[in-house]
Amino acid sequence: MTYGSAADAATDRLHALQTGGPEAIAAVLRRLPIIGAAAAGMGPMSGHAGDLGGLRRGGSPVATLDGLAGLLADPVVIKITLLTANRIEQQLAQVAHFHGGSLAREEALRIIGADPGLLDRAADGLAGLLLSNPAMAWVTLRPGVAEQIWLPGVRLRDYADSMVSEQLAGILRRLGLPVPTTKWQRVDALEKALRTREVVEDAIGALGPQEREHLATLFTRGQVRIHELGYDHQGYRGSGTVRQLASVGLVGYSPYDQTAWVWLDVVAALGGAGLFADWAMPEVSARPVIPAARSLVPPVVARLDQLLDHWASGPPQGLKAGGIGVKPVRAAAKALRTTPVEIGLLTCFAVAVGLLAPVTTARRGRGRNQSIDEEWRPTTACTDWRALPLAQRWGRIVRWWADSTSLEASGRAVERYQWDTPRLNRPLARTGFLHALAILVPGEGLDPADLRSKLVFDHHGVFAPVVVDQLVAEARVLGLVPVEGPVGLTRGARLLVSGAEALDDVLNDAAASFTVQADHSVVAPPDLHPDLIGDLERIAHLESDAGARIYRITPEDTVRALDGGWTLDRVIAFLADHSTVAIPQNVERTIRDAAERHGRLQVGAAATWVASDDPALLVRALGVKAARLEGITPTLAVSSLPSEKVLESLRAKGLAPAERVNARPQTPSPTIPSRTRHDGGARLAMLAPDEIEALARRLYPVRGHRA
Amino acid sequence: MTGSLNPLIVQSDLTVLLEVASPQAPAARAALARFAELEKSPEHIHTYRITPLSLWNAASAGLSPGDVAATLTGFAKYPVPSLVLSEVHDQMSRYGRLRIVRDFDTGALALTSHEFALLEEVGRDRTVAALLGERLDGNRFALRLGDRGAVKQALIHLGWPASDEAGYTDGEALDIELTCELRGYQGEAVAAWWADGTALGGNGVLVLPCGAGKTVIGISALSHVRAHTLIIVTSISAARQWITELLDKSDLDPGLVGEYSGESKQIRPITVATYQILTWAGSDTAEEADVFLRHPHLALFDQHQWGLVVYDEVHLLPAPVFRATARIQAIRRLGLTATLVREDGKQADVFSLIGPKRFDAPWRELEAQGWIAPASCTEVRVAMAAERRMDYAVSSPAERYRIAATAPEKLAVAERLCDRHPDEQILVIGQYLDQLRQFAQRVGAPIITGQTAQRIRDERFAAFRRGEIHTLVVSKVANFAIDLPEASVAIQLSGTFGSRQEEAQRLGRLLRPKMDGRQAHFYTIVTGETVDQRFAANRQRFLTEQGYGYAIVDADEV
Repeated sequence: MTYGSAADAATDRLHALQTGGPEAIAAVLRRLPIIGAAAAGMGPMSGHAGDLGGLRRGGSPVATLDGLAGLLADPVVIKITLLTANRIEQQLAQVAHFHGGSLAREEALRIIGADPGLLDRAADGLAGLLLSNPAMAWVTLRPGVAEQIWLPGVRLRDYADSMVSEQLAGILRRLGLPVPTTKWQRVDALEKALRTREVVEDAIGALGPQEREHLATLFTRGQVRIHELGYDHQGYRGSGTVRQLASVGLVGYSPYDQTAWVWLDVVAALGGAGLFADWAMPEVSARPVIPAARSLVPPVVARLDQLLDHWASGPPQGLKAGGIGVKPVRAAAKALRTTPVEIGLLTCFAVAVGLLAPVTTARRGRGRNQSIDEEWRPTTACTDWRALPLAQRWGRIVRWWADSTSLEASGRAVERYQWDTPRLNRPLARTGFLHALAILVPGEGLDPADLRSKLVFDHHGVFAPVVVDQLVAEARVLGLVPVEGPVGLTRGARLLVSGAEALDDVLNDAAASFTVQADHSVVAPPDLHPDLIGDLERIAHLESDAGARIYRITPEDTVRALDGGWTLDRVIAFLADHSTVAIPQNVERTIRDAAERHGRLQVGAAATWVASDDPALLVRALGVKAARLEGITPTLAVSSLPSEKVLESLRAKGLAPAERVNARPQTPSPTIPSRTRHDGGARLAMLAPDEIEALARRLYPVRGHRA
Repeated sequence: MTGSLNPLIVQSDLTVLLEVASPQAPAARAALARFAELEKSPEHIHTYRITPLSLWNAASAGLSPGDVAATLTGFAKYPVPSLVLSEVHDQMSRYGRLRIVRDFDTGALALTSHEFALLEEVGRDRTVAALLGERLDGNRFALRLGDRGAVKQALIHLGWPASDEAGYTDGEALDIELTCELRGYQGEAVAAWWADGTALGGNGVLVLPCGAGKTVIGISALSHVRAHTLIIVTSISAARQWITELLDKSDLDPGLVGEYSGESKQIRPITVATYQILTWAGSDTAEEADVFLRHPHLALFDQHQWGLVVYDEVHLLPAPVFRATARIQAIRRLGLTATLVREDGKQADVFSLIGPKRFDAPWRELEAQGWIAPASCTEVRVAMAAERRMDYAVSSPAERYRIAATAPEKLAVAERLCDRHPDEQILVIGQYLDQLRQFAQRVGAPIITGQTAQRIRDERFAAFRRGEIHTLVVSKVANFAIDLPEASVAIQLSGTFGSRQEEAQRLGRLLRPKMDGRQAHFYTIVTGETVDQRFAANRQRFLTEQGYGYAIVDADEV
């Protein structure tokens, strides 16, 4: 059966859906989670949400069936369908296309000589995907579909078309064939010749050992990256083996994605030997996942709050080119003891949903030369965000992650540090990834390597190993799977999949207390309420998360909490309210001591410095009000005004300042006590408190503080 | 079955948390101790760790994976991660699949296994292969007597612990009877080590708090083995204490006990030697020379038919003694310590060469039973004078600790603390000799340091024990194994940076139960807002993990 038009295709699919019943629809939705997402108004097909109203409560089933059939005839969906086909299904599709769009079962068996059972399963999969009827024609494809998709090994005709006539003639001569006159005749001749076993065998027989070896590699492995054959990124050039193989028409290569492949015609000509050599499905076995996330909602939600607090107290500067730079992301990761990837991901989310936005702080220059200084600050939307139940917050983060279609979804912010963040342009892959995990037995997961090979096999056009690794890393950050060990959905993630409300219900039963001990450890039960986990992580750091969580309280943690806007009383009260035992005296003392020290060293910014070796002259300068100078030491003053303004003000009052560009203040230093002499006290006694402060500041220069 | 009132939380990282307040905690602790190591025991929640070593040890004691699983699931509050159960099964099933046995034909040793492939696998390991002799048959390799320890070490490293069933040489016989009665936990400790005299026992480490009577346990072990014994201790003072105890707590004739140290070289049926003399190295031998050539006194191990070697303070066991111990695996071995914390990470060597930990008693538990004195720990914070603060601020990091630790303000506080305990025996302990001398001069107290002659040390310790000296200033020479039963107050002026075991050992000087049952007081004086305070926090970790809570007070509160 061949489809003549999109309308025919839609009609046939509607018929198949109606006759197939709920099982057929379920099969479609299972294999195409993107359609389920479209029904919920999400993902790349979200524009079709109206067509799929019946998949939601209260919608019309009939209209939905029509909509679904129409959607299945959409070229985009067909493309996606084929992309989600597994390796066997894709190869069958290639063979079908090679044979003009239709292939009888017996013919396929004869060509490939495969195990009929395996072939049947593959055929069922492909038939299910395309909603074709296996009884009528077991593999069919609408003509032209393959032109929209990238399938390795079927482009010989196109490729030959793109060659100049002389090249074609050269190949034909090397194959020992007559050379026709016109280019198109030469293309036809080459295509036919390469479907002839003898021609291909002769061509292979004329190859050198290295060419044969590489051909064998390509033959058994299908499309591979050229560098895997031992070449650098330009290995296809010059007299390289790939080039040699291509010159006799046995293989093709793409200089764009640096891959090479054997033409399917060649493979077919050799009688199918090895064509489906990679049919063996990967054997994977599920293993129990580490139940690290029994606290249901993972720390990523609290981490977002911490990030917003962190940037509320010190907003990152925007880059001139827009967005947030890498440095603030890394600094935030260090301050919050997490990875730049997590901060990058959360930043993207915060920007995408309006929790973080740029605020103009200054404008410089005019017209085309104008530049704008920006800071990225948390917005007022944060208040509403924090009022949401935890599960919903987590759900929104995950949904955004699953649906983001491109980096642009997060605005300019991500552009500047995208190399530090996961690439977010694979919604189909993420949906398929979640689906693959959701169908595992609860509590079980796959080793990352197993998951990689399974996904690459099951969704051959979607997943490359590197994509799976990236998704696993993202899912670990998002708390959808445990932070280590086998990859399987956590209990919380499963509940989240069933709806954030279900998770909220469970959270209401969560534990509300922990134990603070004299060794400064805090032991929290596995089911501690996520709100408390979030707060605890602001005042203590996590040492172990292997079921129960064990935190430790250090002075640095207290300082971090105070930096994040907590007060000493709040820290103490929080521990006292939720600890099952009284806070040990030494722990409270540690917190109080750290709080007492907090803020004793203060850092500010000054735009301009004025120095003189004559204190009397500096006193005169301090008297110039327009310069807005503030004395730091008898020989040093600073101003918040730009240097031009200060110079202008001082000159106006008859002083003769000289401008120093990119220089540090050269002032006489108060004597510093020697390391070996212990009489520093006497000298220091002569210094005023502000001089001591300036001395300390000079001894410990703060980065970014310009005097 | 799991239940919300159960006391255990089994973690996927193989730690097990025990909630002390639970009514089932004692039963759970008893069951858990058979296959998990007590890592820390703060006041409310104790942490045990299940390690390959602890599981192999349990397997060697006859426990099955099912027994362990039953304990974990039976006492667990939450479902036990299946990962833990599979790890337990995996590790325990490894033990005993390789065995070191006596070769029936020759009486020599052999490494054997029923699994040909396993024997082949370990035999291909480069380290193991170098230690194995010829292949006797399909499932046996010959093994040289002297390589028994090294092979065990190498196999542990590979994750295939061998069951050592080759037994021990008995050594020369010696009649010895204990003349005192053991406390309950002491008897349990010795029984765990002895294992009814079978090859399953006769080696290993017993961990008990300072003052809990480890010497008596050692003497009891002697009375079980009833053979000539080498006892290795940390110092001459400790050696003499052992000799005194041996003569006091057993029916040994004084002529049977000898001291082997820098001052005396007696080799007797019971010989007490110091680590220093055994590790003394001749100046004319290269560092890479054979261990027995470089350290001639290690020959003591071979010069006599010992039936038992006792390692006191085994956490300090130096490398040469380790290497010598590897060669004497046919002799029974007993390690004793209060703090099995090896800063060099050689726990696995202790396991394979001395033996597994056989017994461990939480400090606070023995305190609750009255076997060691109750103790309060107080950190007294002094403020550094302004003029020293700037000195401190501009010093190199290496100098900062010395400046902070020797702040003169500490001396006045220490003096006030001494005044608070006028009728008690006070030890003032420190790291820096100048500081100690200043304080000794200030309060007119005698001082003992590494430079003090042994005779004077003995005299001063004795005078302190008799109560003729109330305040004794000591350097780190008194950190270990010095028995000062009447000391009830210790004031620590400074320590060796962040050493946890030093802090614990210093507290240990006070833990011998007092005649009148009074409490011991341990003060550590710390210069606030300096690196001294940070190191102090680290030093206190072992004790806080044992359940000792430090009160922190300012100097003006003293």
